[in-house]
Amino acid sequence: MARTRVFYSTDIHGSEDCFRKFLATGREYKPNVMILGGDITGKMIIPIIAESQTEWTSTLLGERLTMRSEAEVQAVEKRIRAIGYYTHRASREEAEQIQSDKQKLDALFSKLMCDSVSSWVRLAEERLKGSGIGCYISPGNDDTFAIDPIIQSSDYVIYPEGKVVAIDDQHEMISCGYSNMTPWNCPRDISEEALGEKIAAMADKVRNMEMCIFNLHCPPHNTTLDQAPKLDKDLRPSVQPGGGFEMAAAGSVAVKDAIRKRQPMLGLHGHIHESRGTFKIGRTLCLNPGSEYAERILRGVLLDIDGNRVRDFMFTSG
Amino acid sequence: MSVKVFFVLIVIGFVTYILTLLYIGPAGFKANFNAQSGMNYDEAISIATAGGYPTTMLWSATLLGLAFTFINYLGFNSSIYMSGEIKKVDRAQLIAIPASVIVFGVIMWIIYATTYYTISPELIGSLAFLYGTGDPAYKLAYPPFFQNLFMFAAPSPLVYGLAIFGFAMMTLSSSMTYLFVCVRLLFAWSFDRVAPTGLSKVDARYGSPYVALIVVSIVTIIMAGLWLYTPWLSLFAYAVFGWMIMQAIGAISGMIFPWRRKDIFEASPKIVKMKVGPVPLITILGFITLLLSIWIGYASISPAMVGTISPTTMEFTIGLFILGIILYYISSLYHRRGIPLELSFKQLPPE
Repeated sequence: MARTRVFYSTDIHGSEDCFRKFLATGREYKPNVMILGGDITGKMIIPIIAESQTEWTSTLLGERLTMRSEAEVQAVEKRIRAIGYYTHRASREEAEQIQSDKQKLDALFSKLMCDSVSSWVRLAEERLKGSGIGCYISPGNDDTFAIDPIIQSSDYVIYPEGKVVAIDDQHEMISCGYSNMTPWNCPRDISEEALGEKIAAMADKVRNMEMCIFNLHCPPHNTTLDQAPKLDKDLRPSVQPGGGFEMAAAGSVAVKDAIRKRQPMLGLHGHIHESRGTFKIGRTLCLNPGSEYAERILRGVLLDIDGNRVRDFMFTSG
Repeated sequence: MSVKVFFVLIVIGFVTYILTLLYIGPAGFKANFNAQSGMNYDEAISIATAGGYPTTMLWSATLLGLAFTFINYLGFNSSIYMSGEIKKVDRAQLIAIPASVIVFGVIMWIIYATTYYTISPELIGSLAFLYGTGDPAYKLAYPPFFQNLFMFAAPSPLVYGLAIFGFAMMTLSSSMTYLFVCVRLLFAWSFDRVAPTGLSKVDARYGSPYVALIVVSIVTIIMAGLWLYTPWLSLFAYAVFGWMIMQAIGAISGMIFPWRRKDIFEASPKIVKMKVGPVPLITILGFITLLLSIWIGYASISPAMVGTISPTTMEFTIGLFILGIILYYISSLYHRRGIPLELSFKQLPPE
């Protein structure tokens, strides 16, 4: 049995550039399987205000932008999308209305997210069809449920959430985009108990755990993969004397227990962008490639798997 | 915590040094020097002047001496090694890096100004001239470093000890910085698989890269032993020259960055994209850095600094760069059986 080369990336949070780079890995890294872990949708809408027929303004990362042609507007929209934000053109009055009406804002946000994911799925079909590369895209705790049917509707991209899928002749994979509770009460935040039950329901159906991959968005608790800045009651990072952030374990106990009990071959995780690294729980190699989507850098990990072993792996930064 | 302790001890040393010199004053120092050194203050200056010591400032000597000035500032940008862990790094580093240069420069200026006031630049320069030319008029049993000359200002061994201990703590604390930097470098090479992957193991409880730390500590102890008991570490005598090669490479990278990695340049913060006319500021700064690197590199191996160039030492210095390239290719060949090393940072087109 030849080795299977897997490329895994995660937490691109709506970055158009990172998703296109993800698709480009099919050509550049030549994997057999590509897996995009969760948190694929963006976090913010940047409005582009039509001040007049010939002038538009916007504010991006503290920089005030003024555009005077359609070409300039499109260039700014591309820049905004590249780093994971969504754009919406509106008059000043319309923008203020949307901002003050939570329902309208949520509806707009959902529409922009779904449009983006839909275009990504179509692009993946266009770029990867005929390549023989298996492409799996799963949601994460930040992603709303509205995107699930969009991915499921694809005739090429595979939606692995909640299922046992065979990625090749030997290896199975279970996927779970849910995480333990976070301070932001994200759409897929659930209790540790519920998370444990979801993982167990899939793991019970795996035929050969020795060759199984756990594609679990949330990393195992108190490892090198889940260290995040500790937040105070105002959700601001707590700074230590001397200036460094105080770090705390943000991962899931249920995930750790599941891995410890089941001992799959491999754990692929994301969720904590700062905690790029590796950790072994018994025989299980757990990896978190981290994320630098806001800098338009696609962080990932390439792995060669063969039988019940990870023969080789390497973190990538594209 | 240890950093704070070092800082306090160093400040005590500096303050003791400065206050002692101001207290003894030029007349008091001169009297002590004449009484205790076995030399005469005025005679030392006149012998040196007669022997060729220039009594006015020479631009050529000053510019060559920039190599030593730069050595004093080495490490001012070491905070870049921990940029990933700094809050609001773009603002923090923009303040911290120039501020550390300015603060250190002010401290050094105070020390040098006080030293020149009490001991006088003429005496320091004359003693250095006599020592450097091996003139028999030089009677001191040690080089005329100002820490040594300070003993003619200190009223007691305790005062002398406090000041010198502070200077010693400065050296010790800076070496801790380089220990930290070396551990980070070794960890990064291992993490990126250029070095064996076992070197990037991290302690599960403390998050410490303990394998890299142990390896660097062992190598450091061995190097310290070699320095103390053998002449082998003289092979690193052209370290500043090597450093300038490294800096020049960084400078060239900075110069071409706006065109070579246009996508990252365009996505960078506003300050990075600033231009002077049509030319990116980072290109201009890179060019200035390149010129300075070439000059300081030359100055560090000029005849005034090192005498005749040692071919062995030069070959060793350049050999270190070649060794790095060789190690990379060995690692690359080793990993050809698995995932090619070149994919690690391969550019991915976002089209």
